[in-house]
Amino acid sequence: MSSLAVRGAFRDHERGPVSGVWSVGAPGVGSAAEYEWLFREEFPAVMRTVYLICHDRHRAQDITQDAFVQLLRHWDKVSRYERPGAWVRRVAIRLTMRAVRRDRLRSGLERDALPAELPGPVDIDVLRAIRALPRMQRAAVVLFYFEDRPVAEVADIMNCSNATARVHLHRARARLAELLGEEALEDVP
Amino acid sequence: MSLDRRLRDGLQRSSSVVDPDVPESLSIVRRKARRLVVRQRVGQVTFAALAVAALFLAGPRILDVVRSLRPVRPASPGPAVSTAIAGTYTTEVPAGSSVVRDNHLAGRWTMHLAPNGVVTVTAPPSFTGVLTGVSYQVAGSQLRIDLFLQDICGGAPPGAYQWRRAGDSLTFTVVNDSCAARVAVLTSGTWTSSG
Repeated sequence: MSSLAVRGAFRDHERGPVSGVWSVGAPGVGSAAEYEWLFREEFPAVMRTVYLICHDRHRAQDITQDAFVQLLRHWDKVSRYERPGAWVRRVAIRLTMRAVRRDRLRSGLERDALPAELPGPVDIDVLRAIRALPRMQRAAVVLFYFEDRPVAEVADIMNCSNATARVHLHRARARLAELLGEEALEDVP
Repeated sequence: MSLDRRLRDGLQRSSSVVDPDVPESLSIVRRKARRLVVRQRVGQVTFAALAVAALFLAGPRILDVVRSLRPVRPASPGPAVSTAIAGTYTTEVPAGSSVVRDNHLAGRWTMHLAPNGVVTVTAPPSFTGVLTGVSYQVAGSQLRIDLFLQDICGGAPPGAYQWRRAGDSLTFTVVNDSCAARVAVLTSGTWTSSG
């Protein structure tokens, strides 16, 4: 299954009613087995999103683990939510934003620098261009283009209004078009 | 290629370098959560221990401060009494003097001196004054009492009397009392213990 298909499956689970969330061969609400099931489903996707915002695999792993630690601590409550996956994703994004902000405060010189060794088939130009964006725009771009979420969900995860999310995306696209030498033909709906 | 397409493809390709070891990550998350819980519990126990220690060390001082904030009772008849005089006594006040007649004091009086300094007085039916809130204080052989303080002895300080008990009998001798009605009731005759 492709990662896109997997993400689609998550989102179907997230949108479903509480009883439907755990109906796919999963035991009753709130158990350790349910947590493990959600972990296996969501951890890789959340970590990829975090990586695309912070551009550091080790840090992405730490941040994602910390988000799931929080999920485990609040599991009794969060497991009753309609979309526990969205909850942990929101926590992970928030932790990532903090980490990016700390990095930028620590050293303005590192701002535009990518790690010396980029593993695998990364699109170095796209990553560098995204890295030049402010952190809110970064997160909006990753949620919109990578996770393929509608603006309303982007806003929900980023804890801002739809209009604000739309502004972040609009500005990010304009800047990315300039950096990548592409023409921004389409616009954010 | 459009910008949107390039972003989608670029992000998708770049994300493929992230392939976490999920079971290993799960065990790490569980360990971290356990450590966090232990740290929290240690923190709570430490806080509770510090709170108890602080209360133990500062408690007496806090009590002193609280006590110092309470209003101080005036040095008048109060709860410090001698149990030697506590009991119920009765006397008959004769209608001889003008102060007795004017204040309708003649008749049988009963006085219960409680160990806590409270005096309960029962007057003859002819007396219509206030008899509540009466208290007394004993220091050695001297007794101070504020009987009639709320009406016919209003404005006068509590009266001071020498008391003497012999068997069932209790007698008062005035030491200092500017209220004639009180002197008349307390010293007109001998008080007899009735319980």
